[in-house]
Amino acid sequence: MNDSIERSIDKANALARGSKCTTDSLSTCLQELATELNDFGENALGFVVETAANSCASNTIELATVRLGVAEICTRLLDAIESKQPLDLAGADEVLMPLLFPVDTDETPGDERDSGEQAVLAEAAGSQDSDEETSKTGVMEVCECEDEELLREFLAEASEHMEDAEQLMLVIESQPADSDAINGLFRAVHSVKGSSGVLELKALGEISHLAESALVRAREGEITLSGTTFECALLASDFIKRQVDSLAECLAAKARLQCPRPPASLCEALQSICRTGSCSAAQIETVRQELEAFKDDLPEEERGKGSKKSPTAESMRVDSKRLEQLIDLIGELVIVETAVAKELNERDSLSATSVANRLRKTVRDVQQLSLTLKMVPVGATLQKLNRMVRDLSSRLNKPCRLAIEGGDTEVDKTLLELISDPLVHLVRNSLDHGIESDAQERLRAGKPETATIKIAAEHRAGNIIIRISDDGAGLNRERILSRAIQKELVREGDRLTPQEIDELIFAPGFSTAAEVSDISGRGVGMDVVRKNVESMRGSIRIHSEPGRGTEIELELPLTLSIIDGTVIRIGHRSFIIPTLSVIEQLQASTLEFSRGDDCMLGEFRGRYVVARKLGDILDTPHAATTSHGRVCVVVEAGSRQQIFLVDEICGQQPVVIKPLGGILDAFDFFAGGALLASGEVGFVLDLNAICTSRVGMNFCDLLEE
Amino acid sequence: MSSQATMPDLETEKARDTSDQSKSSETYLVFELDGSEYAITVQYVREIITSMEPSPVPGAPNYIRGVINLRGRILPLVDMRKRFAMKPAKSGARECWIIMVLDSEDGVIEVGISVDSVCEVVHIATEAIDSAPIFNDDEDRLVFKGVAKTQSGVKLILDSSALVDQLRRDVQVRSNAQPATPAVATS
Repeated sequence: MNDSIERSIDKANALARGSKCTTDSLSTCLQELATELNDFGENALGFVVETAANSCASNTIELATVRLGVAEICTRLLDAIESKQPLDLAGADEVLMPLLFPVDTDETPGDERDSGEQAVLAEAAGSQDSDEETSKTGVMEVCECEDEELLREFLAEASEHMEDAEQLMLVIESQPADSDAINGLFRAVHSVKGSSGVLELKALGEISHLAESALVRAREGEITLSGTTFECALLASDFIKRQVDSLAECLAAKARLQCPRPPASLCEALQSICRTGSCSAAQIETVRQELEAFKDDLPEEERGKGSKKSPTAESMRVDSKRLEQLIDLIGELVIVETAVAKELNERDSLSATSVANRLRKTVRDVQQLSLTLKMVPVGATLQKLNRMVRDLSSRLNKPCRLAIEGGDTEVDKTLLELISDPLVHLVRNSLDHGIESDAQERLRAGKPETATIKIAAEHRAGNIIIRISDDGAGLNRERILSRAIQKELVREGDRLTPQEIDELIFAPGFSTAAEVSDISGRGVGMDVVRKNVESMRGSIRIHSEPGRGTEIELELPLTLSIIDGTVIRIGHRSFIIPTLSVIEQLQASTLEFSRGDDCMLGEFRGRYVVARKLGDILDTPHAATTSHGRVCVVVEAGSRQQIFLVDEICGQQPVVIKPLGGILDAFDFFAGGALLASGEVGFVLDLNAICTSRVGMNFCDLLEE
Repeated sequence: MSSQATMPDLETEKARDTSDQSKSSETYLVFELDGSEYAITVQYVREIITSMEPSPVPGAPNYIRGVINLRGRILPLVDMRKRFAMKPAKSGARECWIIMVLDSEDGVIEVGISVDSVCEVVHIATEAIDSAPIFNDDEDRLVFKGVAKTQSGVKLILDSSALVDQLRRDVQVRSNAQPATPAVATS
């Protein structure tokens, strides 16, 4: 990307903000920019700009809206280019939606949300008439929010952002030109605005949008935040903070959600900053007075509560490092407790035994509790997909709704952050490839016109299962097969089961979309999804029925650091295999072994599976004899099954995986170490690395015992 | 219990060291290994502990004696006598471990090194350090910063970061070397 594009974007931006702006000139300018972007191979960006240009030219949208929208797009384009990230169009839908998803003006006002947007638009665009009226008739706006969890998360974030903003305002007061502080302030307000858009908190979205527009000018260096502009920004940020607090109070009290509407004078002052770069002292005075009067307007009980009940009362944020330290130490406590209990029990005194029992119970309770500290419900993350499905379905013209089940299922926060990208990709994929593009086709198949994508989360046997299913056309196996042959993933004439064909979509370099759209197929293929899931020690399965739909099932451990481990012994050493990968444990004598080309094969459930001596792979001598004969563990890693011969299986236990101190990271075979109940360090095996290595193929000697 | 009680307080020494920048001297921990004295900067030393039974790491170089569990953290233990190809200590001889924590680009590195005994904490002026003497093995030379003459004798200055870097590289090379596939027995 080069300077000329950035200059063109700046030009469009300046035009949109300038006074000589007309729809025609703006449309021409955008059209040029789109061509330029396309020439540079930035087709996705080009497409967005082109859509905006067309909406401009169509003359169906008010000029003020167009200008705000174009300015917004320009800012985001620059951000995307600067950070080399895909263009982020989340939030700010009041101004972006009309430009990017143009609706016919004669549309029946049946869609409540759209008309609501129009109202916000009208307000944001500066028509004061309705505004003044509302601000006098109702001081509080009643908000609807179905998803309490999402709202709670948003409010916690927003209040943190606004606290940052307060600090930054202090910096700006002494150094009005501090660009870091202004950028920080802009980001804080921007995040609040974005999320309030998603949650449809109009009063909050409106004021934060205006404040943001004013800050854009400050960020570009067009105005300085000092004097009256500073005062105005301070009042606005205080007001946003008050709105957030008020919403949090309502949520905490489980009352109806209410949020103070911004006083007209404050909006006016902000708008005058956006337009002229400053506002008058008199304006500020009016704002002050209105805000003062406003406090008196609040219902008695609202004020009574005041800030006594802070939104942090229910949950608080803790440095995750400290949390990890705590969990580490509790793990250590369990080991010490085992030793102490042993000592006490040897004393053969009733009181000592009873103390030991109490100690044990307390320590186990503390450990159980410590494991839940990092757990959060998946609901909030899944809800965010809702928005994407809505946008995409209208863009692809495939009516679709997202159904979420099991949103209260809890999972480790770190893990949740890691799976959110793969989830986005999977849902996008379902919508883009899974759902039929022709609604008639759906009707003919006896399915409702509006498709459904369902995400369901549940706990099963100490793991979390997330299923993403659609009621679309199912996988097109013929196309997958021909594609795989073309890509030389399989040979022509290979006989594959339908399941094996379906799994080909996870193969590296596979993508069936004839054209790479900017929706799916932006380089993050299903193979990457699978790799991500497996790196979290999870697994991914696909199940598809032609004409009925596709279901993808993710099975993941509840946390990244704690796994359910199967402890095995080889000689005197203990190793841990993630139980999730263990298919079966059986006596070696019950299996039939035969010799393959260069390895041993064991017959397992009617199939020949590579069998290896785990001790050879791990450079650990096997015990000469075992009391019960040797044991086999059948494992699955990366859709590859293998049989490992071990000396003994000691049992299953939850283990905390710890790094090996840095120097030993290069050992591929170990995912880390874990402290066993005895205090001994056991090594957690990385089955993917082990299964692809080629050691320990020969174990005839052991079988001849 | 750790032998920390008998040692000069490391934290105070570290603090003094950073506040004494002007004098261009550094604080070192002196330890003994096979009759010679060595010094490492206290900057990376977290604590000194007496023995704990390490769990061996299969496939690791022979000088990695194993990993230990230090209050819930796992870290490897390097046998310095083996690392420097010295003769093994007499059986039953005492030893102690210096636990070091270093920052690297790949994250925090924690490692323990086994030494015969820990002697003292001294300040050594930068000008009292001569460049390292030439050793036969070039690799070994890299981990020494120089030789310092102090009132209590000559000490080799060990560069902790270089040592850790070298250990990491060494382990990496060994683990990447593909072990030969054993031939299938034809019995």
